[in-house]
Amino acid sequence: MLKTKVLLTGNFGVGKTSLFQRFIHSKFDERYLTTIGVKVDKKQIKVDNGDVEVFLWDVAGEVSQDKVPVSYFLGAHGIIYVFDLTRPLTDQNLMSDLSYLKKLAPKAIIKVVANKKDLVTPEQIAKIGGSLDVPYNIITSAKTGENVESLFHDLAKEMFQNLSK
Amino acid sequence: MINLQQYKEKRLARFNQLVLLDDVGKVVQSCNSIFDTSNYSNKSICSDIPFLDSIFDIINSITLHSSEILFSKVESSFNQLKGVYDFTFSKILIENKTYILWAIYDFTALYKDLIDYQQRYNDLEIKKQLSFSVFESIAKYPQDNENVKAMIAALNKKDDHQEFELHACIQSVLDAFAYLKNTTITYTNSGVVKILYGDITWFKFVLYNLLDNVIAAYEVIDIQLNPVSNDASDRTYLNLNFLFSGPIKNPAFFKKILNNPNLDTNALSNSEHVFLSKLYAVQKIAHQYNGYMELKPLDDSYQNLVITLAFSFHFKR
Repeated sequence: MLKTKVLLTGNFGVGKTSLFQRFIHSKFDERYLTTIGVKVDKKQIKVDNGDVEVFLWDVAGEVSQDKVPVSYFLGAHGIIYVFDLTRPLTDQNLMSDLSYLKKLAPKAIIKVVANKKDLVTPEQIAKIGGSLDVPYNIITSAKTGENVESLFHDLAKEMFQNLSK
Repeated sequence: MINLQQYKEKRLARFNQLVLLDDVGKVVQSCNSIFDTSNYSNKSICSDIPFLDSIFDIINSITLHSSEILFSKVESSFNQLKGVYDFTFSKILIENKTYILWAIYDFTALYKDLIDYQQRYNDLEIKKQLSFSVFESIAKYPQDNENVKAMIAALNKKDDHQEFELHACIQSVLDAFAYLKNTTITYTNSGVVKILYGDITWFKFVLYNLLDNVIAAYEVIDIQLNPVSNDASDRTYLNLNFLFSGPIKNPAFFKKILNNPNLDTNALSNSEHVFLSKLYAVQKIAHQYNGYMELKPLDDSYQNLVITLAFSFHFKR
């Protein structure tokens, strides 16, 4: 089975731990509990041609990514950059953060995730989407679980293809 | 006399553990100060600790001459190793064989305080951002006027050199604030004033918090904002005049901020009320936004007003 390392990163309070809990344990907790470093857990995902074991790193939120310890990114196959649709400041550094992450982990597949879909209207999503420097890849709700499986499945599939080359 | 060196070693040993791993993750040797590794002499320890499993290829690939790799603040949920730890990994040579030296530092107690602090800070910051976001969206969407439209269009351009007509920005903030707080805010402007895009977010935060603090202290609000000067070529400087008036809602507020429980608030003049409320707002803003403001009296042309002060915003970048 293919082992992959994926980091969940982004600003604080955007729902990284909630996505982690939703994906790993199929749970959601309304309380916001801060992460100060990193938590790691794993889950297997079936993709078209085999199984992928995803080691998910839930990294403490930082206003900008250069504050995250560089060692966390060692050997990363995938990075999920999360921002919060209800807090404009959480996508403020999107472009510079992505550019930094690409330099740090050039081989990693990066997905930009707009989280907390359950808290905004389609009109608001459209406006936010139009104002972003970089388009997001997927809109999720860790609370309802919407698109969470798809996010990880699509990422696993891409990582599988990358690593099988 | 106790032997302090021995005492120190014994004491520190409770928080440190050294584990020697082979190239598949089996434990070759361990001091077991924090957790017992005896189950892992015949099977890889990685199977029970996802963190190790996820980086084992990386730590296995480091060489004897490489510097150690540090992973700080690792929150472990492994039964025998529950807590928050710093881990370092390096390669060492023993009797011509290389091993991975895994050093574990238990900082659970230390990081607990950090977690508490971080939680409080993040809660506060998120609440602030959300309240700002709500009032901003109210300002933007229900009021379908040309000024607000122009501001949104300019914001969406994300051009750092974009100039804004400042009145549109202030008016939208005030409208939203008046709506949210169910109060009346009057606004007088004097000519065209521009502000650079890079300063607009900070400016809105400062304005929002200033109003929030003043409203907390007064029963009736009558605010006039009067931008007097601005140099669009200087990104860090903006002058505004504020006028506040009305009776004090909560005398304890001033006693507290002045650290004077015997203060007779009835004896304060309107000017003093205004000054104190602004001073409090300034302190709070300076604390929260890593910026500061200067208070200075205006010239004689404003003598008909109750009190007017010029605020100079200096943002550290």
